[in-house]
Amino acid sequence: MTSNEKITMRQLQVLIILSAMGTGAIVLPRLATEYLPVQNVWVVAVGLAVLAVAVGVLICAAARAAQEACDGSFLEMVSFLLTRPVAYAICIALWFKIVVAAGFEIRIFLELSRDVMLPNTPMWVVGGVMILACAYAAGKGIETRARVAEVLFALMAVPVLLLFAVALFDVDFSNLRPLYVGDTGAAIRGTLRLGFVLTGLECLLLVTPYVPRERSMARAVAGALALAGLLIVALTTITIAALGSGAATELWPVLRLMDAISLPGAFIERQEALMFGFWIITAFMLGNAMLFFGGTLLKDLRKAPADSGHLRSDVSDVSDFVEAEEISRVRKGGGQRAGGGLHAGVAITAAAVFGVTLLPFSPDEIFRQMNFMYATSGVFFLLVLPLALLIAAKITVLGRYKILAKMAAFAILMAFAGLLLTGCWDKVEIEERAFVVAVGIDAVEGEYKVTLSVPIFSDEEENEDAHIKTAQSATVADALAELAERDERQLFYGQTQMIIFGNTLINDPDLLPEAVAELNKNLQATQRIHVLSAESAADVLAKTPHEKIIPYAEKSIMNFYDFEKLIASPLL
Amino acid sequence: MVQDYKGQKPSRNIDDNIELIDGLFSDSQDFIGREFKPGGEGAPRIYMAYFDAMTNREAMDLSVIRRLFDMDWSELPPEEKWESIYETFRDRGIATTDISESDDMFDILYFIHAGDTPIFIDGCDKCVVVATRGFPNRGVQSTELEVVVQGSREAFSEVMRFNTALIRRRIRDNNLIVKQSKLGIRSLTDIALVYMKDIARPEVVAEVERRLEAIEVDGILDSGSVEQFIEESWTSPFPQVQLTERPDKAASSILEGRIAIIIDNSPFVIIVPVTMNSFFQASEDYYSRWQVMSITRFLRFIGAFMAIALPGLYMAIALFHPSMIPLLMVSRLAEASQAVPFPAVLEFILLDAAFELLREAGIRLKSASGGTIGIVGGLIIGQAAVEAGLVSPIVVIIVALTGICSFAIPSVSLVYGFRLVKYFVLAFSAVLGFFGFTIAMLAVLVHLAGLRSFGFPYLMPFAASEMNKYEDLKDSLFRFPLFSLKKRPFFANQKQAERM
Repeated sequence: MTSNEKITMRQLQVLIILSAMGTGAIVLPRLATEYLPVQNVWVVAVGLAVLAVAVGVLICAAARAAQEACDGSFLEMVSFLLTRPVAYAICIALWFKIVVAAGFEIRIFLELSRDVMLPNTPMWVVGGVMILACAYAAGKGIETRARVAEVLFALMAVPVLLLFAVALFDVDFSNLRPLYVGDTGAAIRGTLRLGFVLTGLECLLLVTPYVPRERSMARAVAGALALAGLLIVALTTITIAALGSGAATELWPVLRLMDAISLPGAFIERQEALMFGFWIITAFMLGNAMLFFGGTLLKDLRKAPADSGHLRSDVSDVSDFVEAEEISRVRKGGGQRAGGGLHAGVAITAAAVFGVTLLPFSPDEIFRQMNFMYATSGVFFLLVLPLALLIAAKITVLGRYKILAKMAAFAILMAFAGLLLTGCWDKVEIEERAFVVAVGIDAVEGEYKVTLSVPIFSDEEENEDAHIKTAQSATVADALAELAERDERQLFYGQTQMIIFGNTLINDPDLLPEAVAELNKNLQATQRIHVLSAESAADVLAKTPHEKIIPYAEKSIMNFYDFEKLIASPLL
Repeated sequence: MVQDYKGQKPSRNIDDNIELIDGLFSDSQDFIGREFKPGGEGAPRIYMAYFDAMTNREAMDLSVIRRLFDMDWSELPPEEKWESIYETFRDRGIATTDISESDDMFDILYFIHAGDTPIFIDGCDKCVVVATRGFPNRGVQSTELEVVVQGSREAFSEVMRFNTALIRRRIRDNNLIVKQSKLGIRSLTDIALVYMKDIARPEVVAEVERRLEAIEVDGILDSGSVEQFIEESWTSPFPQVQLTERPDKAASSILEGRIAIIIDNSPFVIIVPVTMNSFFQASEDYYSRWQVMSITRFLRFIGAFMAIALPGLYMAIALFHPSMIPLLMVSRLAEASQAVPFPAVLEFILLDAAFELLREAGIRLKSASGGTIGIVGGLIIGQAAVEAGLVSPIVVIIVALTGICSFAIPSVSLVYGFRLVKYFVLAFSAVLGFFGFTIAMLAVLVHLAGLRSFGFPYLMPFAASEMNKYEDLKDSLFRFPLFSLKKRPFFANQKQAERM
């Protein structure tokens, strides 16, 4: 029943590290502030690391013991130790837990991507692509996944360490004081409730058949989890140190971290894209881990016959080369190692996960739901059991209608592709963007006068003032909307270098907060923007040709985030 | 067909044989069947059959026919003892070293096609086959694709026997096995498996043989066809065997425990098994010093990555996240794109198509005109297109850089794979920005991680290195000094792991 695939201990460790750094790590600082003041949140992170190691070791011990009793797939082991029906129930419930956990994790990732990367792309497209990629990887079997993990780990290790090293110099560790206030009860509660941050520990049970028996799994797993925990502790500590109290208010404080770090001599300015690359990779690894284990559970439940797939065991990454007969078993299949059973299981799991990601919750609700789920898994089992049995029956039927299923899959794929043809949602040709290089706001008679400096990049001789746009309106939003109407291009604030507040605005306590809030909405808060003041922002901008603004902006003065430290300095 | 005569013995009566063979080749005027009686009393009738220009006439005339005519046939025993006639004839009548016997019409017909000459004797149901091959061929010339600055310039030839000789010259070990067989029902192409008996893994050899035997096709014309029959995953754009035209590369691979498959009429020798790392190793890497060669090796990997990623990355940044690059650069890009009527992706596709067409044209036109096409196409047409405002210079640079990066990879077959994958990555980047780019690259990585070549993981030195205790890493991204490359790569039989 088991596939002959095996992975090495080193590969298992890498898989664990990459999967454990799920999106929960990003939100940990924010969530932990519900239990402890922001400076002490790192305590929760340490608690989580310890908890994870303890749980991991426990699971390994249990898994090894079970393997001693009955060497086989997870289902076989459990049905041998407990009874068969109980085993089935557990497997199905586990499958559901995996589906929901994966769904929520990916959903958080999608919220993140909408905030930072692709604001206009529908979530189901991004989610669909991510899940398809995870399904593709999961369908290839655990050996392939392990090799991918090895390569990704090697690629990511150096940049991550570099980033941490640079961050250590840039952040202000005094933000961590006072070091620990002493509310141990809250700390423990926080740790337990936030256990979901180190996601996927239950999959350790399922990975046992693939790990060689001779070596000590507990030690390897403990080491990997300790390292993952250490990374999360470091990440949390640095985030707090960098952002201070800001860590409590942001939903994704770790991304703000990139803003605080200035890589020396870095060509790329918005490092959050790079950081986001890391999260894409960890979400991918987590997603395909969940899909793989979900698919394996379904495959075991369905009792895939001992045909293609299983017998094809070639060079497993552990043992020596095996007989030539086994290699040649699947010739035309082209790399289908784990067989059709796994593919069907992964497909069904992927569809379920996709459904979960589309549930209409807000990010906060998602966290509450995850908490709820983890706290009350027991109740969940009872509700779902009959439904699960029905599904299990349907799965067996599906096997006979493989061709229909393939046609359905093809039709869905075509429909999906057709939908994609409707256009790219976030793609804007570079010449269609109006890059707003500077924003100036004055208060005139109780209204806002907004001036934008939008350079025109063309060879033709233009009117000297063509790059300045002014509008006056009761709210900043209206003014900006009016300006957007005037220009056929799309106003883009990603390259805004400076904001100038006129003195009239600064001195007006009613108008200033709204202006700031409105700007906050439009600008990505990870930008480095100089905030300056002048007598009249409009005049200053009108007199400064954009060729002067651009080189001037290259010099770094200060961080937009520390808004309280507004410096009054005239531009000219 | 020649196959139909398998197992049929020649007839004792020479007229039957003559009738059969003449009948088979009656329509071909380049077939020559010669019947004669060497003269003297008691000499049996003799029949020779061969193809014009496939045989070495001189050898035959001097060593065989003259000798036959000069022999004193009166010493022969009487006709009934045809075995003795045959033995006398064979042992003393033919003055060449390379002769063999055959009593299977299939083999005899094959030998005729190969350029040898079977000699039938009246009364015998066996015949002597004299090796007289002497067909026109190109000889051993210098390499055209895998050119090195320092190192041997010999290339494999179309004649299988020359190729085995080229390898034998480099490995003077009796453990070097050359196992021959035939492929293709109508082409009966000679193929030879060349490997070291004690270094290559027996399972791999067995698997290679099994796959070759399973090929059922009427004709094999080049090793490329064989490659497609024996590879594992026909859906993958990446090659799972390696083709080389250099004997030194083949010899060093054989010493590592790999197997060379030489196919007649093809100057490219197949080497199996293979990992992705093998495609980045050029012979020159080992002949020059390790410092420079390590950098070169690393540059190749960078080039490979850029060949896949550069167009996608540019699209993702320019179209989705222009906030990532400094404003000065953005202003340049915007300025350049201002005048262009096409959207960026279409621009890229047009330029890329033009680039590919130029490359194809350059291949067809050799030497004199080939060089001009590159200059004309690249410089003048590209420049003109930019000045006419049809394309922006940035995209021209991206296309050209991508093309150049793909040329940095020593192996042509891997480059084909990358060229395809680049479009896949570009498509995802154009729709979903940086996220699409990352997902596409991850998908490519997953695909590569799942590939195997005769059981060996494709990403071998970068993943699953533990199998060979990380020794393979010493010859991957960087090339460690030769004295530290003490162990053979994982291809070798583990009993021969040391390079001694």
